[in-house]
Amino acid sequence: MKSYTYIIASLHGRTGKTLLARLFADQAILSGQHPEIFDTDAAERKLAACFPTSAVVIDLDRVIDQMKLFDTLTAPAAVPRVVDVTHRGFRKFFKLMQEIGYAAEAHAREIEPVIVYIPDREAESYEQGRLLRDHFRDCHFIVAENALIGKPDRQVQQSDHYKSLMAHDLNLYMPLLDPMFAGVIDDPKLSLSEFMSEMPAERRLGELSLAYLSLEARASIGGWLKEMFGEIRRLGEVVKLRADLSFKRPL
Amino acid sequence: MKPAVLIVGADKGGVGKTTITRTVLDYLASKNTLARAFDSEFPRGTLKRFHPDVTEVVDVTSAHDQMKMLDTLTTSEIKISVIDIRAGLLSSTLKAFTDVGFFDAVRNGEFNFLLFHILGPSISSLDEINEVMPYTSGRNYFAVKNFINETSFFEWDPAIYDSYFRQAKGAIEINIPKLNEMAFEQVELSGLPFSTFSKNKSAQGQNANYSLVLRGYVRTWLNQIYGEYDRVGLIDRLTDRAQG
Repeated sequence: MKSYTYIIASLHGRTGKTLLARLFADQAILSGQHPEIFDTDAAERKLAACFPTSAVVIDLDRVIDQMKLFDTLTAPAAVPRVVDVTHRGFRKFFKLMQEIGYAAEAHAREIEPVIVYIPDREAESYEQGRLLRDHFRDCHFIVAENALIGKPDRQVQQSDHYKSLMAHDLNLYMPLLDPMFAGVIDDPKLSLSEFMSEMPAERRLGELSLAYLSLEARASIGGWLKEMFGEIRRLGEVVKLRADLSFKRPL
Repeated sequence: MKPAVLIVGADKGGVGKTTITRTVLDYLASKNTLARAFDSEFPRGTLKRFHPDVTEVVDVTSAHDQMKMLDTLTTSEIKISVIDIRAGLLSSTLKAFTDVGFFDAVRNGEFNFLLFHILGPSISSLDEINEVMPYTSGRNYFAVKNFINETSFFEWDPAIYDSYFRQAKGAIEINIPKLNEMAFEQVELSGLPFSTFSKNKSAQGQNANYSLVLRGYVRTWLNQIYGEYDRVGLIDRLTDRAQG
């Protein structure tokens, strides 16, 4: 049975990458799995803060950590894996991934690598995203568009890189969340999967209580999460279908 | 095909001669080119530890072992001989080969001869160039700069470096990049050829369980070195193809 490794990446910071990695991990939890979670930002450890008992922090500058990451990612697994690639380690991560031949090794062990890339408003982010997509042809590739970032200016939109990347056939749209409630989502103590599966007021003593949130806030956050989890589930099914059919991305 | 001898050596120690010899054997194997190797680290034999099937440990200072290497050049079915000369013995070995008429035979076209002169980052390595290069008659002399020790070559005075190389007309430079230390250590521990380690195989050809990351470092490094050997046409120079 195939397993899936979701590699969440963006060229620059503040693109919503860690939130998206968190959503992929929480979607797996919601479906009753125990995902393996890797946070490659050894300085800020934001994703690890959301999953303090299960996330593994990786310092990409240390060979021993590179081994810990990629040797785990190629070990056969029954659970999904989520890797949050810090933008500071973007080039290092993918260079290493290429040099060690990760994708081929993963495929040999029934593991499907899925790169989820979030471009921003900068022209370079489309160029690099396109390079990434075209270089790792043996990986599934999803372009994630974060509405919070907004569209780039017209000049960028007219570039070949933008057009090519935005015409990609697997897309994930991150809709706007009411800015009033964005801070709630960012709280690492809030489990997004638990938010969806239980009433916030029932949370255990000592943990963050959301009982103070208005119904409107809960509805807004719940609606946004439902949409996001639905998108992630849908894309997961498409990726699974493609993997089962040994789908090869066209040139 | 004419028999060929590739000597890998340096008078200075600790510059990575055996490591380079191992990469040459891996390279030749990757090109389906048979080679035999002689390891002059007598009696221990570091090269033999990694390539036991093709390597024989010899004492290059003994006439008996010189005969074993040179008298069999024409009779051996394997036409390429790679000789790893241990530290301090390069000049004396070349002199001994001269005395037995080996270089006369090379000049007469009976054998191909190549010299990999492994350079360390010190001026003493450069001094060796003028000493050993004449043995190659200005052909097939390779100045191999080994960056394995994370050294930057002659950065302190590039002018001196250039002046030596201006004298060494026809010298062919080969750059050997640095291999990640942890990967290097793991290969040392495994006792395997670099190529076998990178393919995740044991000495018996069974699947092994070496780190993907470390194997990746070794594979990338080896490919860079193979690229250097391709660039200088090593196979063509060892075989008759370079002779036109």
